[in-house]
Amino acid sequence: MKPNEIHQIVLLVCVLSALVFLRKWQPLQKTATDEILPKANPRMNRIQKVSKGIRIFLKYGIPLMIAAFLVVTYLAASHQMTLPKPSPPSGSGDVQHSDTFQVWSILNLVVYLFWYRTALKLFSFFEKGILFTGETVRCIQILGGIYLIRFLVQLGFFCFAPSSDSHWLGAGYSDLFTGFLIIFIGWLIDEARKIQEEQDLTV
Amino acid sequence: MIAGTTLLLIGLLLVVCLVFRGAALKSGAIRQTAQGRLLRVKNASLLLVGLMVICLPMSAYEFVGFLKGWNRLGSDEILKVVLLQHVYTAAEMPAEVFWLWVVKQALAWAAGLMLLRLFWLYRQGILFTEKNITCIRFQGYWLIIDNFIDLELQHSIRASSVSLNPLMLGLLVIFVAWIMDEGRKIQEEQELTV
Repeated sequence: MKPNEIHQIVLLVCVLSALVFLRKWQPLQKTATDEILPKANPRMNRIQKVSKGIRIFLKYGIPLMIAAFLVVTYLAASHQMTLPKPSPPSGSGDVQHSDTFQVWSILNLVVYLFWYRTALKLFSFFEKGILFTGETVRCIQILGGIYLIRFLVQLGFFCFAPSSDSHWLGAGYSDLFTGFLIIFIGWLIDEARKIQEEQDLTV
Repeated sequence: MIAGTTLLLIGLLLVVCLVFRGAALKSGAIRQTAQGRLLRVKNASLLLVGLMVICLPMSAYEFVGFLKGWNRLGSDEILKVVLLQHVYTAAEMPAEVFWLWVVKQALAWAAGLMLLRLFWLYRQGILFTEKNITCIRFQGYWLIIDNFIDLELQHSIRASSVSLNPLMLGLLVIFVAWIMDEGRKIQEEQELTV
């Protein structure tokens, strides 16, 4: 097995280990003050801390990653660095340079930026301790809506700009499914929240 | 063919939404009560259970049909698989790619069954229990593992870049499931507090 073949497996193991570690983290967090405070506070603190970490990563980490990607692309373009070239998709020509693909890439970027903004907003709510309110549910539903919009844009391209090299449209179904699932879960949280509020108001 | 199936799917989803909306308006008086809301959740979940019950056997047909070289449902075209922009028939697929695809399919099936279980729980009126959260969390793990299989496939096929979008989405789903779990625990503790 070549070293770059085990690379993906190592990455996967790292991500899964990090997730398992996060789940087991709770017993390590106990301090003297936690014993005095009610149990709900450490849980909320943990949510706020993790949300803050993710928000900071989204806010600074992703722009840094994009900057690094641009630098690598520039170095590759100026022949100071060589990157492995992928083979073109079967049954397609020079897809990367077709007009449809360029327009699709720009629209995709706009959708991603909107997704990024909504995700930042959602995590800032979680950071403030606002968990299941109207605002957070709206953010979750907007995230689902973005996937549906992405799917509809793909469908629009498929119907109105058909071409023989349309294999890059393959992810459509997963976007439809994902968007629908996220919106459903958001709606469910909203309904549960309203039921809870009504029960709280009932004497 | 793909556009036709897609339009059919959209039509089906629109019908589901309209039926669901109509049922919600019909319930009028009880709409705003807790019981009315729960009823709506149960009805919507029933529709989704039905959708899953249709989709899972169809995907099983596609899987077996691809291996056996059957035709696509309602078409003379032989079943093919599109993996990272490469189109394969069963005979053309390299062994390494084939096994990765089988793992992908098995995981997708497991995720589908977990989703069916989730909707079934909602149908029973069970909204925020540990079982529900396990089902949601599983979807997140599936998205992450599937993305890594795609990366491995990318290496095998030497295809153009794989999007890391599912990885981000998987992490987001796991995070939301975790928040739901914590919220549930906080709620349970508050109920126990006198």
